[in-house]
Amino acid sequence: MTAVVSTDALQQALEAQLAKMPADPALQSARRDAFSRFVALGLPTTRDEAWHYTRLDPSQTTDLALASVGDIGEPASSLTIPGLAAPSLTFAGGRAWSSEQQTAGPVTIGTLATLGDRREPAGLVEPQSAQALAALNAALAPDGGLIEISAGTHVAEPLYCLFAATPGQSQSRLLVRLAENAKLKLVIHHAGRPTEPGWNNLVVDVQQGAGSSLSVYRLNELGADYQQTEQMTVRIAANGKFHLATADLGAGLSRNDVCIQLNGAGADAQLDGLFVANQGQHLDNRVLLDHAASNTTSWQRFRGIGNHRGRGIFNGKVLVREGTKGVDAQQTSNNLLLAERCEIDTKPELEIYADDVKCSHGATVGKLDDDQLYYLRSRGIHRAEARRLLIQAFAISVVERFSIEAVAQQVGRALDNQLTAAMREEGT
Amino acid sequence: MLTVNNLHARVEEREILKGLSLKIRPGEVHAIMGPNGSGKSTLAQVLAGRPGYEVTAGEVVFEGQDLLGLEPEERAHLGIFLAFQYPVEIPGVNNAYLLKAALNASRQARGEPPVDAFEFMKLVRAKLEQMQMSQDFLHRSVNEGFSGGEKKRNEILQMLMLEPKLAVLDETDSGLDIDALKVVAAGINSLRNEQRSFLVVTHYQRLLEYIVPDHVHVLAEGRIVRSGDSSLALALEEQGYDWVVPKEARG
Ligand SMILES: Nc1ncnc2c1ncn2[C@@H]1O[C@H](COP(=O)(O)OP(=O)(O)O)[C@@H](O)[C@H]1O
Ligand SMILES: [Mg+2]
Repeated sequence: MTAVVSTDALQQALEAQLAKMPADPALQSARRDAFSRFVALGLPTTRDEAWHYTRLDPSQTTDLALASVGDIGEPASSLTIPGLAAPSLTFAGGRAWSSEQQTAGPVTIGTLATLGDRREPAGLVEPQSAQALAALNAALAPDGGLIEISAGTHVAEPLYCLFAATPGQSQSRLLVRLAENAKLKLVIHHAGRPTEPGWNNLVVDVQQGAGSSLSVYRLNELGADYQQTEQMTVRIAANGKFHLATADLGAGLSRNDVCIQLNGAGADAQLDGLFVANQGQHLDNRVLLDHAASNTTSWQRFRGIGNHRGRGIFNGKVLVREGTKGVDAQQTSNNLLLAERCEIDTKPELEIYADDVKCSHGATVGKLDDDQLYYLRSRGIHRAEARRLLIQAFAISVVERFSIEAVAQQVGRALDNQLTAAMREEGT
Repeated sequence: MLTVNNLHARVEEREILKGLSLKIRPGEVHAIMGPNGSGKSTLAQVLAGRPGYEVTAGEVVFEGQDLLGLEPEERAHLGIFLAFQYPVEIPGVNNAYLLKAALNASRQARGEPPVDAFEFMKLVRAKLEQMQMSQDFLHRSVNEGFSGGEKKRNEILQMLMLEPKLAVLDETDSGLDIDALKVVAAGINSLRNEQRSFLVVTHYQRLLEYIVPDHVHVLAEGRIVRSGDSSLALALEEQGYDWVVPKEARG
């Protein structure tokens, strides 16, 4: 099926956006170019290999009017994670607010608009698997958040970015820059349950200098009707360490393209992912780990859970470039099917153009263990509770990787809510 | 307390128990012995309510209540406990959590409030000490990476916490060295009283030196072929099963 995108409204949105911006010809033409790229590519369809499992419905995405959001100021405290400092950056409708604008000193936190930043969207990497979406974002994003950590600076407290879901179409972006030997923990939190249809198309662009270290803790607990597409690209220089713990426990449709380039020796990326798909949810994770330099290491460990009528996908690809040596890449995907009518597709891929590599991948799809279930029940624990315990046990290895206690607890609660909702749907 | 009458049970289309009868009164310790494959564990699992173990005839009555229609957890709430021959490893579920959830499930079924955190810790510490198990064991996953002996101790620890009315112990002695056997036997004996009953499945007389049974039964080919007092266990140890097991019932 072809997705027919009506570009007229988008074109108008582009003109409106350009009218608001400073008259900078280079910037304007970059946006126009990005828009042309989007128009030429069109929304991905299931004929695209990278979109085999996932179809974007224009009426739920590009046809939606661009969100108009007033100044939201302080984010609704009902959305924020308890026990964590207030969000440094809050995003809604593609706009960004910074609670603690810092422009001087070793840490910069702010919005591109207020920082007067001309950093151009066109300069960003567009992941091949979601180029059209990244191009549309480059054309239309009204603003963006920027976090910049100077060389050698270790930021002790985690920085919190809250993406509050709003009705309509949002084009959001977040740029994260770590200079040499900088160190940062970042929380990316997608929350909110608008009653009207909404779509957030988000670009997260990360650049890590040599020896820098970044941990990203990402939680999606969006309302079950919301649509989100997210393209995260991470470019890592020599000896840079990147860790992503990610949990998709919400959204009607969630598509994550994570594209990581290990560009210098000693660069390392560790990804731990969890997704739980309930009735009507479609959660698609696509990872590209690009080993572009020798002696780079990576692991991806994803765990997927399918409840009644849920759909989950993990498609992880390891690419080892020609001429590299000593690459070590591991990838596992373990999945749990909890109902007859649910589907998880897992597709680990290796593309290796070098000889001296150590790569492993494995995928499992299974059910809850009857012996474990019976053992718990024989101790008096009710069947439903025993099932919940075993499901949580399956997920715990990922939840534990959220090494900020308050965030781990929020992930635990979101998981619990998700399992409770699933049990209600199944009537168990 | 427990009456088993003409019990027939099959596992995966094969009849394993073929007319087994047994009566256990409050406070009694019964031992079940018998060759490998004679159906001892099957009996234990049927009592605990393992799914897939199909009872085709007979009845099991526990304190006047028909057990066979009950779910495993409901049987546990009534006070039946099975110490598994092969305790199950459950990575990701921590021991303390299981103990607390199990304890509270039974309390809830009895209409009692959940145990408070402080009381629970006090209780579990005392029981750990009794079983000569270290505290950090509470934070480990259920049976994961435990040695054979640790798993058996853990079963008895759970039993001590839950204080069942009827404990079915399936080869709790196998795989234990003599010191561990003494600890396990002492744990079991500490629960013995006039109301509580035990069904001890074992292969060896060894355990019965520490836990002296009131009755000993020999199970062969899915039936009890002989019953006696504790001297029967000694005789079996010395002479094997051949003299009690009818020829047609030998493997
Ligand atoms: N889950 C099972 N599936 C198939 N056969 C089984 C199963 N459990 C036990 N059996 C068979 O039932 C018979 C009795 O087994 P069991 O009760 O374990 O004997 P025992 O405990 O006396 O050694 C054996 O022949 C065994 O192979
Ligand atoms: Mg056995």
